[in-house]
Amino acid sequence: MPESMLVLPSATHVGAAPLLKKTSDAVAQAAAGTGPAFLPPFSQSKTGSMGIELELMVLDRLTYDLLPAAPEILRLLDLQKKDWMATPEITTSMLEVATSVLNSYAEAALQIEEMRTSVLRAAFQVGAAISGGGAHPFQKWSDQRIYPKERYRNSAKKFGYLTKLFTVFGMHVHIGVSSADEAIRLCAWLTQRAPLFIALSANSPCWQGENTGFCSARSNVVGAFPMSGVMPSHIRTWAEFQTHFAQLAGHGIVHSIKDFYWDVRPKPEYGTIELRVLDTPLRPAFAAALASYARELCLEFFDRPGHWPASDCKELYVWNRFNAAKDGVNAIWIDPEDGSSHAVADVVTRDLLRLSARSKDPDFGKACDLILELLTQGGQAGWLNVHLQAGSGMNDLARVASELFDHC
Amino acid sequence: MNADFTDLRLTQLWLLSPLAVIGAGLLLAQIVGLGLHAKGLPKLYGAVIAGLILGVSGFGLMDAPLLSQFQELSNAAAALVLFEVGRKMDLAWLWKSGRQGASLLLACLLRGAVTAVCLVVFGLGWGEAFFISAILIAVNPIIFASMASDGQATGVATFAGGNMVGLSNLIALLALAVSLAWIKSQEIGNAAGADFTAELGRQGFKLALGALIALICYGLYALATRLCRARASMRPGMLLAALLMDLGLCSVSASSALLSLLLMGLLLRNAEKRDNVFQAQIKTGQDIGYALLFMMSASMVNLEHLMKPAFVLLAVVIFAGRILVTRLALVPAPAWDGPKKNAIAVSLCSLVSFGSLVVDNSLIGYPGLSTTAAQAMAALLGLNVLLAPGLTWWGLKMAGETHEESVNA
Repeated sequence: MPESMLVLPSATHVGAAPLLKKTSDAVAQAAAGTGPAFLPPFSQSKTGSMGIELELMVLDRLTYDLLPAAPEILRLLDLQKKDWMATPEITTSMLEVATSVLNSYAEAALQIEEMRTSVLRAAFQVGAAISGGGAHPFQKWSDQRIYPKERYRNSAKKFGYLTKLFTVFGMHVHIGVSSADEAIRLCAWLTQRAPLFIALSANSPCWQGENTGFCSARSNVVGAFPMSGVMPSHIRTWAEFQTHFAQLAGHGIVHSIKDFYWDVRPKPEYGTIELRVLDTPLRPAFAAALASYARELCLEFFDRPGHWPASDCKELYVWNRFNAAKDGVNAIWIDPEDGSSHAVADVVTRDLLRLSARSKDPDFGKACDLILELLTQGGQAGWLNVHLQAGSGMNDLARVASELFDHC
Repeated sequence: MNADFTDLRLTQLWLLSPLAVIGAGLLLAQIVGLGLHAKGLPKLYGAVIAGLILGVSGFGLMDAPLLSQFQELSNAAAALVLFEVGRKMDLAWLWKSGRQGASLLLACLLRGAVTAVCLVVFGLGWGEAFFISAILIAVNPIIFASMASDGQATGVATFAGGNMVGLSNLIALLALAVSLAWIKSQEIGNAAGADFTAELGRQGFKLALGALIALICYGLYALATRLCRARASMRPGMLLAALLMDLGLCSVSASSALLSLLLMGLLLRNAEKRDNVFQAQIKTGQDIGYALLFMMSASMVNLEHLMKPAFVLLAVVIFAGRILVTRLALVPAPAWDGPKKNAIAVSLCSLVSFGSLVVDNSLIGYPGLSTTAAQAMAALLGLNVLLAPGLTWWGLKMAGETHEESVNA
């Protein structure tokens, strides 16, 4: 373990409260680059609990270009009493909202609707609009402004223009896992199916003012970061992950878990695994449905202890990922378990039927209905492509996306 | 002898070609402006300096008779600016944002009130004080828009400022109609009540006619875009045609061009729901227009007006008073924190002349004022040209809404 890495004993020791404070401080300092590299112990959480993070666009109400008004919106949201959180993101036109710990689709749907109305209200007060979507259709990356916070300024110094280029908007789903080793196993399984979530959430056909021909242009932007990709397949236990982290920290490559831009990564301080591949849905209601789908998949994986994905072929994953980003719900997915090819829509439909039969969430059926509706309608990118084909300009596309968020 | 002849011919050439003088002024404005920009200062001060050098305070190459030859050009540039002001007004936000919209309205009223009080204390009559204070409600759209463009400012303070510019110009116009009616009724010398009512009717008719012209021109624009199904990127030409028609019709009917053009912008923003024209890329044209208008304004500034301490003091007090009451009016608005409110108040310090408010065919102020009132107005306008662009630029910088130059900033 390198000298630059801070080591703390498990948080379950005597005197846990001050230790937890020390742990969270160390996590924050490592993430900000102001302290030594630090990987906290994996917190225990209830398997199948979930949390959702949505990165939202802050828009000009006239041009529907990005507007650097997130600090003012956050200030107003801070005045509001709420169970969920609103936090800044790398540039000042981005706003992140995160739910509290949720245990069902109904809870998720309710809290996301509350978040939507609160954020809309605060944004309107300062003269801004809000939109979902994975990438703004015509913003210029060079026009974006780094959020005035130490961590983001350090990121800008480290990654240069990539930091502003990273003004893309994703949805992250956290699934609670009861043990660190199981978190690593579930990461491997969920990674295998991550392309399905890229396909289902794909809604960013335009990027920097051009129609890219992809359903999710956002997915390609993330790949520019050196620590993007997937967790190496040789990692099979939490101890192996700690060793991997220590090696990279020793080289000065990573300081905290936040430096891993993997599609699925463990999040030890929350006791979760985090699925990070989704475009933020245009209609927030889809967020709860997609998160519930991910949650039920994890519960299914959890109920098969000791099983690992059969294939660790990275190229196959990259190919599935590419196809999902390119063709959205119309993509073909190669099953890494047996090498057979299937339409994404068929795979998802079969998943939902199987998961519905075993789910203990009484409202999971509602989530399935929403996802099936999405498949029937050709996906969210399909909605936007209809407008593009009708001759809409980029501003209009941004306006349509914003209106979808307004009238959920 | 030969050399004298050549000099004479060159001078005559310049004097006979107003366009060449304007062109030379613009070139000088660009050179000085870019030099200032390289030092991190607003480049539109280049136009101010060029105007002062070539204008009545400098070599006298640009004066009222010369500039009057470019009145149509100036009006067309003003039309674009006023349309832009209307386009930046968000009626839904002004109406529904509660204390934010109300605080901007309050700021307009307080700016007028504090100016009137200062002028009366200085010794002007209530009629003239009301007339000037009605004008001074307005924020100068050219200064605000050009400084926002210069600094690539965007954010909540810029948004609020854009709305305040439109709102203040509309309120100023309405107040000015009342004030003009009063002053004209007094000039005639008839029984004030009867003439005032008739004059008010005439002023109201000008405003109503301006609004009607805007509706007609907007209707023609909307019809044209729908007939040919023009995409947003294809529409700036049609928009420009509609604006010129609007301006021309207002000019021949002596109706309110400011109201009409503001209304065109308002309609386009608030009524147009189909594919929008909001990104009409006329930025380069706008920037040249700003430089032209700045230079023309500066060339008319007679620095002698700023050599009279009493009038300069009055102008400074009014400037400061307007900033102060604007800041006070923003206190109840929760959407902006203290520094943003300070920034908004400072960035809205600029004022307009009578000519630019009514977009009339004269660059000279309203002639019916007393000498004292005219000198006060001249000092205010002089200070406005020299100070307001810088203060506006500083206000936008204070708001933290100007563009970062460096990726790693």
